[in-house]
Amino acid sequence: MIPKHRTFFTRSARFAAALLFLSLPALAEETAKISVAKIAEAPEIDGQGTDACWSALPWYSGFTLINQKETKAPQETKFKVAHDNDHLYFLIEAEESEPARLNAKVSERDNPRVAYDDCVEVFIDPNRDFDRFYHFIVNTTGALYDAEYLQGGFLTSKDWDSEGLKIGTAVHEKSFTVELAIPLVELGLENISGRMGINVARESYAGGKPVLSSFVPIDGSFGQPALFAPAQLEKCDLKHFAWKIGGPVNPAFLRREGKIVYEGKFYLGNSTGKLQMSRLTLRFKNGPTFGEHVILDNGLGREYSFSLPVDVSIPDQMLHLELKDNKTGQKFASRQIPVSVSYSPLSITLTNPPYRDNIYSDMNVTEIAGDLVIGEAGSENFPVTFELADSDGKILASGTGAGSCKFRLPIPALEEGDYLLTVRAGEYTGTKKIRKLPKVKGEVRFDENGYMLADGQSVIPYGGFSCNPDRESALGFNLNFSYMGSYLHGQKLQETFDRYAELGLKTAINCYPSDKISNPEAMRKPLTKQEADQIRSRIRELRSHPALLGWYLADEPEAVPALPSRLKEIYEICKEEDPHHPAIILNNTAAGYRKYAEVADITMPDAYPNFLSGGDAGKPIREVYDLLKLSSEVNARIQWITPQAFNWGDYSRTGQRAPDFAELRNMHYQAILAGATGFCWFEFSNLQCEPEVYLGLAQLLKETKILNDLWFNGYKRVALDTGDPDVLAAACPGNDGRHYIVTVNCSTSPKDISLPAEGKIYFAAGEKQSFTPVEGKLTDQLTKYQTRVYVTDQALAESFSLDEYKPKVAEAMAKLYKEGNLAYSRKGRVRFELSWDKRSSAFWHLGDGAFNMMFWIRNSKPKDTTVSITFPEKVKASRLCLFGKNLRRGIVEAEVNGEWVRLAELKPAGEKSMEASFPAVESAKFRISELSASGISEIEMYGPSQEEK
Amino acid sequence: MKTSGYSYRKLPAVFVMLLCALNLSALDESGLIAHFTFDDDTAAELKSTDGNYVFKPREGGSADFSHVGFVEGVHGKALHLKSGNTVHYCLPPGVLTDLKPPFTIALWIKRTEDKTEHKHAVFCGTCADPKDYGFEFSWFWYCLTLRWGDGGKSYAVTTPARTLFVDKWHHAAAVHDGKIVTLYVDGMALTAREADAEFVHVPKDKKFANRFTLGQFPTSFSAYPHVGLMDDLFLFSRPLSREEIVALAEGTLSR
Repeated sequence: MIPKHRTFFTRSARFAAALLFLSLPALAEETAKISVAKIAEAPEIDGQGTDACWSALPWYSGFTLINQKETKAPQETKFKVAHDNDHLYFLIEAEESEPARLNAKVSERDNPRVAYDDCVEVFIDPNRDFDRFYHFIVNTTGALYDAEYLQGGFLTSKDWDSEGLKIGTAVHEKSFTVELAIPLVELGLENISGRMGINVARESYAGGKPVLSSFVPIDGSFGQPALFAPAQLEKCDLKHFAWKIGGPVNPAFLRREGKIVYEGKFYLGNSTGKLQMSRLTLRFKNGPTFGEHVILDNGLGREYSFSLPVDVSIPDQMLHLELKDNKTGQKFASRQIPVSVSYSPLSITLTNPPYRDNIYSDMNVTEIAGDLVIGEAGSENFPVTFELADSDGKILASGTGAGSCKFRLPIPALEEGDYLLTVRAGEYTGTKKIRKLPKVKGEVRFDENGYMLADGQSVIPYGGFSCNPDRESALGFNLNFSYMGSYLHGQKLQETFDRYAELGLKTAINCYPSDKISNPEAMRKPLTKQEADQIRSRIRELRSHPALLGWYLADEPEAVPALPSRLKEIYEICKEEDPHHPAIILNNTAAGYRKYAEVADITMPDAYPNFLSGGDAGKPIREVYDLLKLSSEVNARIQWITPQAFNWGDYSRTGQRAPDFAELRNMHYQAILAGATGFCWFEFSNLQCEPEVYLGLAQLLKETKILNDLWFNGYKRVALDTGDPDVLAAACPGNDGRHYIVTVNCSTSPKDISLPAEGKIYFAAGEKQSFTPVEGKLTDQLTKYQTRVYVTDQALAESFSLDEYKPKVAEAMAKLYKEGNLAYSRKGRVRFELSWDKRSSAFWHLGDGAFNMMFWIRNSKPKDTTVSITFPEKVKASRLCLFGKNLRRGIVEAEVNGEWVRLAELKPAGEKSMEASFPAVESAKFRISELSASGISEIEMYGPSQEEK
Repeated sequence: MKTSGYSYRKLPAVFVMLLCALNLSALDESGLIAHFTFDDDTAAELKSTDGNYVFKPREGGSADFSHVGFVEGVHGKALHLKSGNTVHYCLPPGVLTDLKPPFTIALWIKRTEDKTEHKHAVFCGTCADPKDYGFEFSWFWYCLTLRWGDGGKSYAVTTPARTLFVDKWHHAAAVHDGKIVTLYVDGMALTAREADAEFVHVPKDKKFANRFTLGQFPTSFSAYPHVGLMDDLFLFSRPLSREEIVALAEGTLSR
């Protein structure tokens, strides 16, 4: 995916995960703590805040501007917060000098545009786990947006509604107030200690320009759960909420007694401290309710089956779960679970042929095999018939079965052409088109274990997004994903592909000849015939090119959200028009894995642990393994992976860095252990200044090729129990009798391991270290994030060194630094600031020596366009070089005795550079003012030469 | 609130009236045999709510009540049979020993001891040992079991493994409709199977076995005692539905 710079509203969706758990204690200490007092009597939620219960409570105030944490908001906002064990109550008072100009255009619920009204926002992390939190926005007329965020903000559901939430608002002479009563039960409390995270923010527009302020001093986004103020509900008794709820388990859509029902199980566990007699209810919106008695003593848990009629015409629905005390009606738990509704009376999945239901030219298929699932309750004994017919209807093979079953149908040798498998079960008939394909050069397909075959040869697909083909080829990579598909046409497109082919690379490109087909607005609508024709045309244009890897259908479509049926239709076009190349999709959420499960042949979960400057991964690095596992559990697609190979600081996040080699290797092997059969790292466009990343990945690919039997025998791999969730391990047989054990420490602490070992002695691959198991156990200690591959073949293990990349990195780093360049940002702490862009945290690239990241100058008058260069201490400079695009003019100045002094005007020094020399001046602050250019990419500064000195 | 005959204790009067209107007539016709609440009992006598049935210590047996008590239960008081108890609570000879399907037995149980004995009799009717006469309804290796025999062979219906847990209240019910035996735990039907033999219990040893016993094996010696609590024991002469079983557990049809 492309990390995007978000608006203030959507920032919260992604930025949350940027927070480092490691730096958290320090951050938390700086944040004010909130004491949530217990009140005996609930206030009337009328927006007045005059109830007696509020009078004794303290105000929390001191809101600061977003991205300017030291600056107090010009108009004060303050709030009080209380609880009564059932609700959280907020009283928020916002000073407003111009109440007549308050914006309040939104009136309906869950319209995200309410954030563009004058509004207050409340964020609650109910379990203070920095994972699941809730967001409430209320404008001055009481319009509400409420949403649930999961995975630290990765997954957003605005369909989530806080049932029973009460709002009161009032506009006064010099302020407005908002009063909220938020039912605690809706917040899914798991931690009942009353420890929460809370932030309150305000968006003010009445003054004519946006002023965003927050109780917690914050950069980037309000919705960063790890930065929320720690809050404690005083004297709370929340035990009645202490229920563990898991599921739905084994969900399925079935026809039962003529109705389509959604069936499965929920696990309920009672930790409330006492025997509970309650009632579980489940319902879809506007649907009937399923009810079940739940009698559980404290400490007990049980699975409860459910069966609920469902309207299959609505593809995405919310399942509402409630648990209430049977006598008092008190709500113990409430959950809203998104469900993708999909019912098929007959589901036929072929296992042979294993991929796309196609018999490729080099395959010898003597039987059709697969799984039949009949979506009807009580269909166990339905008589089933199978028939394979050619395009003339001639029956070539037939067989029988009963109920849902695995089937095998022997077939004769088939000529090239289309065939139809017809399955009849009871009143239902289903078909599968099976194609016997001709040999085609450049074909990319997959075997039964998900391994890629290019022209019939096994390949380790390895590469990244936005690679430069020449550099990528030199590093040994073999695939590239490009976002340029919609912008390349005709000869330019052909030349681009030809160059890939010359270099032996394959590239995935989207099948949209115009971004009008792939922009968010289009993606939300059904596919039109015109669009379909354009897609067919693009596929026909490229499908025979040897550089084609496959068709990239969508990048995080759940964020749009794209219509699944549209993507499914595009996928079907891809399969029909080009059976020889896969369709690929990238999803970044659990909901997306499910929602788009039937779209594309390959999915690439993207996993970005957010590596922090001066720290470790901001999120558990194990996310790579977990996301991939989750994806493979909910869809049957080929699993590739898109791990983080970039510095998120390049996308407007502060305090970030790119991963180092140990972290790359950790993610690489996590993915392999989770079943990845291809790598497409994100991303290469800004990596010139990060040689450890691109050279480290090249090293990993080399290692993977050397240990190729570990890769290609992955389906024989057996997970080993390490007894520690932070340590992943697996054993895998290699070829020629060798044996592998792979261990990955996902913790920042050293970990001792003791694992069952078949071999007598193991050698750490690339490390020249041996391990002799004792009593069948291999023991070792892994350092932070360390990955170790143990293999019984000494020669293989010692045929390469893990350190091979290091001298290459040193050499590449040396090339980035030009001797004497004062502005080289990796050496010192030089800081660049751009007058036209306050948000980016990537300005250091102006001094990274790589020249590749362009900072475009848009909507800015040259007179006001300035680049500042600040050093931690005074430097003596006499020359400045500026690189960029369409450079026209600039004045170099230095701050001397508190005044800006003009030094020289920049003069052209080449096609893409300007330069200015001036008498040596000592200062810690320089700037280029009156800058006129399309964009700038690099700044170099030098002191006087020996002669000048 | 407790009255003679049927009563809906611990419920607001209006609610009781509503329940009465909805359900009481059905229960009246259903053949309640006995309901033991243990709310107002003494260790010397455990009486059914209508006073027609009274468990007393076996004649000539132990009358040491030091290990018998009454504590807070699920609904009101619960009978507490502590470790070391030697009292054998029995109905008078011949009373309820002719229990035949259809019937329902239901009660709340909480076992407080986790020893290794292979069986803890929660509730025994007559004798099922050693020649498989009679029947028993018991806690068997963390499962609930209904077991009966005719002198030649024993039959048992048992819930899946580990459905009962020590130190936890469980509502246990056995429903025999003449053909199907269903065992409920905490209101959930966990096992339902055809009763593959006629439910016959022919006490062999009348001296010891022909007694309807509570919390002990019906012999003169202490064997497989239930150590823990019991509450709201019901006996019906008809098979109750699941909804009725749940209502018994929840106390909305308690008597």
